[in-house]
Amino acid sequence: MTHENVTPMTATKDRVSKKVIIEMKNLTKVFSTQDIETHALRGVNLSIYNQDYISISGPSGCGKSTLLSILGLLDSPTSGQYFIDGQDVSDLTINHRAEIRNQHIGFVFQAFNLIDELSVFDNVALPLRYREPVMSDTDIKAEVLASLAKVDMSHRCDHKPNQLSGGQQQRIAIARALVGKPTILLVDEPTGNLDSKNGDAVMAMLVKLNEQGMTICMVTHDPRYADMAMRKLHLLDGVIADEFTVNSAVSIESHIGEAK
Amino acid sequence: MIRFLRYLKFELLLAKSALLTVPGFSATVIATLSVTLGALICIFSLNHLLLVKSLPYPNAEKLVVVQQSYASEGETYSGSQSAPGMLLWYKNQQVFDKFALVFDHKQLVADHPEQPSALINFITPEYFSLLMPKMHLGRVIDENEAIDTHQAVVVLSYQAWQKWYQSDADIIGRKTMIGHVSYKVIGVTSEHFIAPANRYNEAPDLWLPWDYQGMDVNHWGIMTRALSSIGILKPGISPQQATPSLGAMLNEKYTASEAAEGGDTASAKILTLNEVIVGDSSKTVLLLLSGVVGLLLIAVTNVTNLFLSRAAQKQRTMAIQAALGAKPNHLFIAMFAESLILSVIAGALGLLVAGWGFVLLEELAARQLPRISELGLDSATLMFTGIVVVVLSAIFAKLSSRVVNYDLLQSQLQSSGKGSGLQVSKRTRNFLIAIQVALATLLLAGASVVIEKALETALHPLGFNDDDVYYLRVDRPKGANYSPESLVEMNLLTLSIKKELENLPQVKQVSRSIKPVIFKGSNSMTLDDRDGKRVGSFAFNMVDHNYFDILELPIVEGNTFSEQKDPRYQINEIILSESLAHELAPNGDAIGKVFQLQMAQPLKVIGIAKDYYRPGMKGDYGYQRYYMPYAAFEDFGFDIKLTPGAKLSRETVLPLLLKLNAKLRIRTVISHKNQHADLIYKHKLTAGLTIVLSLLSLLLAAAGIYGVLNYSTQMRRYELGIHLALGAKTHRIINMVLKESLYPVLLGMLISAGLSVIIFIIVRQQVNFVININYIGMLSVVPIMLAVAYIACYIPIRAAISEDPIKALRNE
Repeated sequence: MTHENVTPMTATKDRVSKKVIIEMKNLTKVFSTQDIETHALRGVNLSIYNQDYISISGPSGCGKSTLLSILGLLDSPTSGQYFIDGQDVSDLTINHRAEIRNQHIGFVFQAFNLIDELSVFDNVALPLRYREPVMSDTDIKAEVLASLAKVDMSHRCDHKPNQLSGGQQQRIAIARALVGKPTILLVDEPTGNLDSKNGDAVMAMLVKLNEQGMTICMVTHDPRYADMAMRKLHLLDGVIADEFTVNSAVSIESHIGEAK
Repeated sequence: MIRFLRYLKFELLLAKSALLTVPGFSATVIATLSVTLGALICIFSLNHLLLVKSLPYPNAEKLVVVQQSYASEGETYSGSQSAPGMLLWYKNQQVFDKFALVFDHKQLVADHPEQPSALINFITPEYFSLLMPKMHLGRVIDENEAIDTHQAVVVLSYQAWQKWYQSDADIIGRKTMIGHVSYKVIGVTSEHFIAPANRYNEAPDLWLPWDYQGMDVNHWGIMTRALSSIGILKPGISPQQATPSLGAMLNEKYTASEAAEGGDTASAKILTLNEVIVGDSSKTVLLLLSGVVGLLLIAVTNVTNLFLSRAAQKQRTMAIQAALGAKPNHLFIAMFAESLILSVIAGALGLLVAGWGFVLLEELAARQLPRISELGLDSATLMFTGIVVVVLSAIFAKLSSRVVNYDLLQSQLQSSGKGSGLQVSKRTRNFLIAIQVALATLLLAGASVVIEKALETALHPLGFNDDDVYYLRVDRPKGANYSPESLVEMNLLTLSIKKELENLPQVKQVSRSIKPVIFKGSNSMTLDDRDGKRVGSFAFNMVDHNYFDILELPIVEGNTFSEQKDPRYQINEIILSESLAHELAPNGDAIGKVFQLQMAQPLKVIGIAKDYYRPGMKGDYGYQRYYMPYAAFEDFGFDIKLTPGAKLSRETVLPLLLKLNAKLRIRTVISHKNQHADLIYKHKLTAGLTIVLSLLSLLLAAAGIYGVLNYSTQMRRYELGIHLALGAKTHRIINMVLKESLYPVLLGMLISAGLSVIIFIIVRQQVNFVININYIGMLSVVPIMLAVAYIACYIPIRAAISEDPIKALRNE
């Protein structure tokens, strides 16, 4: 298939009735050295609703990765407010942030970031190992198998990541992101390390997940994949320069299917 | 806690897999820690045994020893005990519940084919009622064999029973000849009974009733360190209360005796048995402990560096864990799991090393340190090992997880790879390297001095030919005394023995001598000049005319003695060694000079013999000796030259002796080669051990430097990737990094040089002998250390630049 064949299709979604799960108010991030201050984010205001599918794009250095890091509580804002499920998370302790990451956020990285020493099963189980209160091994096993089933990777349970293809590794990474039943999936260039076939498959999976109710926020350089989202944010010099909302649902799977 | 353990269990599984992927790191940590922990466990056990653990007897803490002290002309003498004083206390004291006398002395097991020398404890019955040993067979010496009953019975130690009585299960009731008396065997102690050792830390082989000790127990002037006591005070009486009454009783009788002069006094001192047994050894073992703790600190520094490097390697994994919700304490547990696995393995290996160390200590220090035979892996040692392993694991985990900046971990997840910030400053890294190099260089420099001294002794040529020469030592027969008639009789006997020995087919020549040519310890006698003025005390021997021939020790001037054929000869000749001749006659006119022994008959110098080396003797004194014609003053000795390759055994010699006199007993038959090997054994072992320790120090230093530089290189991968991407040749990068890395190495060497000078100055002020330093040997450490440092620097750099630059740039 070619990317020219991938186009958004429309379906109405009523955002008014949706709940705000993430809200950023006038968020800034400044990286300082002795001589230089770099303003990565300059007052970002953003609300993410339940079941949203957002793509963030923009040129290099515009602040995409910084915004995603702050969204995922991997980094702290310099100023502004950040709410997840109504809770102000802009100034939490390290441990509290770790808890929220564990319970509310699922990450999918461009480089998959699986741990080579662990089996597929243990990689997927990892977020549940940090879960409080402690989960029993039986519960963990059930959740992991269910999550692997969602990405159609149950049969690779005992493999090590280096025994899998790139596409398979990314599916494992998605399973790991899903296993904790997060509030939002933060996806950073998910197809960057994949060929087009595997890239499309991963994108199809994300769309499907969104259709099943998962909120997704994705950073991507690729305008065709960005177009699949219902909300497209364009970041420029640390501010959201443009936001484009599609009023209709996306039927990517069928589109990719046609392309095949 | 449950959560911690569950998480630890998971992390241990992860750590196990992860460590298998870094075998070099794992092996280095395990090797470093296991050897160091082995030494620590071994020395801890020794300290625990001597400073904490009770003696293995009932009421051990209540067992005391009472000692006599004598004061004369302002000087106080203690240690040696008089038998009348001991018997006085034994018979009259009112303060002890039980009080036992012990006299240790060596005698031959005469009815054993090899007539081995056994350490005997002559005891009163209270000895066993105080120590209460378990018996393997029979019973202990009891009231039936009390003092003055003269019951000839013997109790064997389990080891003696095995060694000399073939573990005879029917031994009880049988007779055995000890010295010249036949004793009935009444008991064999349990295998596990550890009797108090004597002042040489030798355990007794046999116990005999006090009546057979053979001392002059009535003369106050005869004192010996072989005499001691063990007692337990009556309830309610403290040592402080008991001491005055014992002292007064002793003083009254002593001052009235013929041995005391006006103003002389005697007093008593009560010490615990443990204090007497441990003695000054507590200082030695604490010194050893401080040494191994120092070694542990070096090892911990090194291993910490390795873990810092490991933490740098693990940053990506930790970043992933953090992104998925792992808290800082989770990351600590992750590091702890790795360090715990390695430390536990090292601890287990350390226990093996310690077990080997126990054997080595027993071999090396059994005569220097008490209770060595009790060393073993007991519960305290295992608990200590467990605690050290867990504490070390926690230290490594804490220090390495501290340098991981949790807030910066997210940068590791960015695919663009912008390098990672240096998390241990360059100054800190240089400091760590410099300290390690300084400590290792210092250790190596010290080791080079020890190795040189040990090898000098071990490899020093003797100066005589010890091939196929044996030394036979025979006890003087019972009843022989030092009257002129007896002396003539003994001389005749030695001549007869010599003749019998010469008739053996494997014997080429025999010379009598009262001492072996080389032996442990020293014997010296004062020599006066013609006018009776003392010229010094020197080593001496009394030998036959052919002694120098047998040893191929040349007479460099003058002649040897004339052959003795008449046992009534007069001793009036003396031969000096070259060094002594030079000392006594610097002008070279020693021949013809006259000396005398304590105003006895004059001795004319008739010859000068070449010097020979006696292992262990230091300076000129070791070479200064004189020889006189043989006389049977002491036990009989014979130097026997055999035909090449022949051997001489007790079995061969004993029948010859018994044919001449049924009372003769062989004390020793040993080849000079074996005697020499025995004497230099410790020096060779010291050299060997020091070389091993030096190699260990080098390994530790190399591991430490490698650890720091590996960490440093990990941190600089991105920078090195840029250099490579811009076209820098690998050798330029290697040179650049090596130059930077060798700076702290050189700094460390300078620090060690400064420390060496300070230590040398301090030691020189503390000791009263000249310290000879071989500067070439010490300086040889510098290129060795530089080479090791270079290799330790080169390996991580090489690894970093041998991959494609893009990997470093992408932080893969």
